[in-house]
Amino acid sequence: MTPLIQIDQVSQTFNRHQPDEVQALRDVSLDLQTGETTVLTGPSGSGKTSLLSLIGCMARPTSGRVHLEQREVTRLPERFLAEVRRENFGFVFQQFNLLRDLTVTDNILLPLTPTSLPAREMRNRAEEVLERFDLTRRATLKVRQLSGGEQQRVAIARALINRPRVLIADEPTAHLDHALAEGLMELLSSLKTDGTTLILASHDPFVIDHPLIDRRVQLHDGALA
Amino acid sequence: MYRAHLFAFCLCFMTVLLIALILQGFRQAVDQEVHWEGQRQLVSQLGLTDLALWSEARYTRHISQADLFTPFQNMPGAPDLFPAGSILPPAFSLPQTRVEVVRQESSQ
Amino acid sequence: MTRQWKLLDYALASLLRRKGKNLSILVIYTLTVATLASVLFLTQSLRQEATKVLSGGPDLVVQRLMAGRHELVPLNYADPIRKLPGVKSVQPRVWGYYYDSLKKVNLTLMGLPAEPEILVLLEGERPSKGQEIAVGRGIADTYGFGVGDSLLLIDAAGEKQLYRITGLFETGSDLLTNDLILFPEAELRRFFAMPTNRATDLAVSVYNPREVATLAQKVRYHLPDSRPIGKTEILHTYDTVFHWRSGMLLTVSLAALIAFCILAWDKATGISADERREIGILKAVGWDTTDVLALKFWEGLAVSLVAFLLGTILAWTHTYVFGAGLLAPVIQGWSVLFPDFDLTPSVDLYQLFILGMLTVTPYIACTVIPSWKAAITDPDSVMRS
Repeated sequence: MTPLIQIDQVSQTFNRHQPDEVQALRDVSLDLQTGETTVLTGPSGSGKTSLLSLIGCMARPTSGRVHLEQREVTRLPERFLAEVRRENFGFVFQQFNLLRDLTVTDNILLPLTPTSLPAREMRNRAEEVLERFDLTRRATLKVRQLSGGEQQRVAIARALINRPRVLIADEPTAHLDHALAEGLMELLSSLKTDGTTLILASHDPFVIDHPLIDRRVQLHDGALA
Repeated sequence: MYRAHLFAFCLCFMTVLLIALILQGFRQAVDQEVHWEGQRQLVSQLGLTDLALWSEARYTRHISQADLFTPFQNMPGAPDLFPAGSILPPAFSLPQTRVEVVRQESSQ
Repeated sequence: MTRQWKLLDYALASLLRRKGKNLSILVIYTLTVATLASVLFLTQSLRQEATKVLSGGPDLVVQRLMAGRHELVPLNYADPIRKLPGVKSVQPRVWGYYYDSLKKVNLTLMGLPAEPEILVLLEGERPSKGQEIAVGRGIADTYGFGVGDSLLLIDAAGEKQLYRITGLFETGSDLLTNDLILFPEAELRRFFAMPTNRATDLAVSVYNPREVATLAQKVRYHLPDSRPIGKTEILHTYDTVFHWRSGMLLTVSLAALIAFCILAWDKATGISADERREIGILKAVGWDTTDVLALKFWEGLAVSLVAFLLGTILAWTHTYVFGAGLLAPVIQGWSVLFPDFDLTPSVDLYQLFILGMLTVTPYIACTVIPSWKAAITDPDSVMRS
């Protein structure tokens, strides 16, 4: 079976040729299968976030290639890269990265705004995810009025609004207590059942040892351990 | 989307209002033609040459008749009569006086 | 199309997020446009008024110059002018100024020729006998009198003279007659102690207006000490004073425009960390650079278009409904007698278009360009913040 995502000898260097040069990734190769749930582990600074960015087409590697369904995405022009990102990936960021002064609905609809999807369809989708994440009653509130757990759900709802094949989550449980973290993992399980490919980065043992995880990838100092 | 539509509606409303005002203005100007005719008649009866806008000085009251070329009466553009004094341009028909040099014929 | 609607929708939501800041910009912006447009409308209307009304004036005014300054014209100067082919009539004008040192008002005193019998726009009667005058509305309002009252004026000999007011000019003629006092011509001569064989200047009317320039040359040839002023020159004077590229509009508006540009530049170039973060998030969730720039374009357009439309409508109301009440004192300067504006709307669409371009375009540019740099960075910076 051909892998969904192929990472081929990828290296990533920040601030090249400058005194504060950092090598975030060294020669990483990795294949990710459709439907598989993978967790990237390792101490902070080991390159988990950098690798997630590369997988999600948010950045370009300094060297090496990234393939999505055997199509090389590394050298795509920015316009197409944004489209690839929009159509295939959903992101849940460590800091949620929500726009705090916008309403829940406006936040959730952000990924669909620059598309030509009709407004009616957008509304339907928003209602659908709001209901799924139990946010219907919160729909018109500003994000800053919500609790941490609710914000997390908004962030996931936003990641799923474009019905991505791959959900990427960076430290999803970092700001949650145990009960909320359990709820989150349950939610991710249901996504997995629906066939979504999950790629997480975490150093939380609760996530790493969760039965949901199919594969654990250990990173150390920018390289696969 | 309702925001965008509401906004577009407001813009359209303001545009239509502005256009209506301008059209009304054109109509008013047509109606005014009668009054202008009366004023034109008055102007020709009295032989008026200027608008009675600024009465503070000769050259602002009768802009077109002023002899700004007369030296030392009031420097044109002098800020003492602001703003009229500083924005009125000099009148047009300057006197045709000039200096011509007629040289003494050589004695040889 | 749907995409642009949705981007506009988001742009509005985004503007509303920073309500206070954007609202204050909108207010300042609207006021700037309103000021500019008010001056534009006012000057344009005055220009229209001047050209419409003064076109009835004398085709040629002949003054006499002596010792480098204006001098009374001998009446026999009219004879050579009358003989010029193309001249219809020559009418001596008697007029001058009178200063009231108490109210610090300058009045224009004008001698009324024997013709015509009936004056237009005059309420009451034409002054016919000595000691009778007709007066402009502005003077009547300033001093508070009406037809039947009398005015005491001091003549050239220092004697007090009493004049009965027989007529008042109608309100509609304010722009022409505001500070005018009409005397029977003989009486004004006596008042000014002006010799009977002289006049202030000569008003010439011609058969063919196109010959005015040629006639002016001929007058100057026959009467070398004369200064002919053609009607086209008179009209041109007003055209220049009230033209938008010169005179008043430029003086008043340039400062406002520059101040606004500084504000817009300052506002737009200092793209805040908050906005930078917003752009990062948008890119991370799948927006590309053109989407972000389109968003900024809509933001700029929304603010500037509203300001332009609102400002123009305000200016219109201010100028034509409220008689330019806020602007009049600025233009009035030190004039004590200043006519009330009852202006007829006059709009040059081209000027309005220029005003729109001058206000809308720079603002959009100031909104879009600074976002460019933030919009082209890789979205992964947001993951590391």
